[in-house]
Amino acid sequence: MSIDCFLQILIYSALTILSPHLAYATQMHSAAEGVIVHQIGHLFFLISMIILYFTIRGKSLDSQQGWRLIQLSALLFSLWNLDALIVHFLDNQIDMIYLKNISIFEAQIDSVNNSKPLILFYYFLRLDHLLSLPAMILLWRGLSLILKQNLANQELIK
Amino acid sequence: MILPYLPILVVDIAGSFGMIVFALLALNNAIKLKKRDTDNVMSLYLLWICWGFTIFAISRALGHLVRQLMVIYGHSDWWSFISPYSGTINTVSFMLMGVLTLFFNQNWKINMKILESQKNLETTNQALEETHIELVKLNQTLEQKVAERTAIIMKNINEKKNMAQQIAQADKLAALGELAAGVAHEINNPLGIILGYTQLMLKDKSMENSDFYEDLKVIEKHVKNCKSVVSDMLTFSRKGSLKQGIVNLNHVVDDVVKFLHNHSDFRNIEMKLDLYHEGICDIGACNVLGNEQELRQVVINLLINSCHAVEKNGKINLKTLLTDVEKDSSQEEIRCRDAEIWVEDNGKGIKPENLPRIFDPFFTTKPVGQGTGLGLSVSYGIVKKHGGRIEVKSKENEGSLFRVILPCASNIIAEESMEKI
Repeated sequence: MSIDCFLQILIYSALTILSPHLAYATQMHSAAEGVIVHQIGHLFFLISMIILYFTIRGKSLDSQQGWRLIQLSALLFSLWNLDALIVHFLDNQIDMIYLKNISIFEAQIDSVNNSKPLILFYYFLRLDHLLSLPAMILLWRGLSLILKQNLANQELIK
Repeated sequence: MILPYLPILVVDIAGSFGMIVFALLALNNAIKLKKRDTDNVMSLYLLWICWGFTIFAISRALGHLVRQLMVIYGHSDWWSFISPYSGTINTVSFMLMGVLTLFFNQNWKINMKILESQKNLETTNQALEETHIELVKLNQTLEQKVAERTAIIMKNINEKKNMAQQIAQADKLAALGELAAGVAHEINNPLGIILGYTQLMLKDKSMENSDFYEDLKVIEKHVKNCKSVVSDMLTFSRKGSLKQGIVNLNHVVDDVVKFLHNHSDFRNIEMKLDLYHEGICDIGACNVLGNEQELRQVVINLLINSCHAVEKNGKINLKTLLTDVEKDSSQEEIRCRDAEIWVEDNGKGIKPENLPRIFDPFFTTKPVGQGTGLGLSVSYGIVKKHGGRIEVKSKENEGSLFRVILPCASNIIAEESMEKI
């Protein structure tokens, strides 16, 4: 690929990116396309985490503790992706839910059909870090155990 | 519906920080793993995954933190400008994670192939190493092996030379034997004439009172001795007939002993004879079926060997005996299973390593010229031909015992009769 061709692609990409619309709440995306792309990203991430879960199982790697924790991490990340998918769907795609910050202590959350269960459901889904942070911790812990096992194996070979 | 925003805020901020921290910690572990296990493709893969998660965590966490800060400080419009970029980066990071994860299977297969190749390489290396060690060892021992083989070849050549020398010696001795027989034959005639004339003179009555009578007696005695020696030599040099017949072992042994008594080598050797029940043997008990000349040869060979073993002033015991003797009711016919001749000496004995070889043709421990190495071999063949066997017991420096065991003629005749029936 020539330098001119590369520069053209870069310029056109920048022009496309640099003209978004304003968005609010969780992670609002400019137009329907932005939301859809983002949702597809979440979906792709979710499916890949499920595939990772079953791949680790298929290779019988889950017999080792390190890999078992990574498998659990993949499961939690897939649940987190589902959580994010639902949140973006409700407040960004179909505009079912509206969140407005009154102060740092209070927020007003309304739904189109005034459904309390839905509002409460949305509220808990907004605490998505309760899924993603443990997932990341499990990933770190799993890698720590794999590293430890590797050290032990190398000591044994010596 | 108004709900507390603080939990969302706290969880969001703390969670974001936590995500960054733990993503970086996981990345650090992946880097360490890669450094430790550089050959493992899965270590590299885990590093890529961790990079993906780190980019995702940082982009998302930073986005959330910035958003919350903007909202708290009332700069929501700023967030409106930043959020699309943040969201885009998040989307890209999701895609990156998804793509990386899908390569897990491929990486795994590659890793397994690499590990298998590594294992095969290690096995090949080990085999090469072993082959190398063996080659080095062979190289080191090659010279030694060449020397050993050369020694074996030289030994075989020397043995062949020795055998050739012994054959030549045997031929020489055979020729000498013939010559001796010729000479003896020539001497026999004059001796006969001398004896004849001496006896004629002794018969003359007029000589009885003469001074020469005693002298003539002495001449007769010594001529008879000479004739006896010559006669025995002629007897043994004669190519005996191949005729098989009844042979009395006691007679054979007795003849041989008498013959060898005149031999210079046996002069100083004490020979003791123990013949089995002469009376019984005279009525045929000690008979064997065979060739007398050949059996005599066997006894001579054994005695000559014993003589060489004892050297001077030794002892040789000769014995004949029968085994499983049975008498019939009339006491006239005696049957036995085997008739044996024992030749025992108190000589230097036979070394244990030589014992299995004493009956081999041309095997001898004597220097060339002192023996052909054929005596025992010929004796063995003769005894075998007669349906018997030779047994040896020998101890170094203590002496040897040779037992010639032959089947009794009475036993053979009885067995043949049974077969005919």
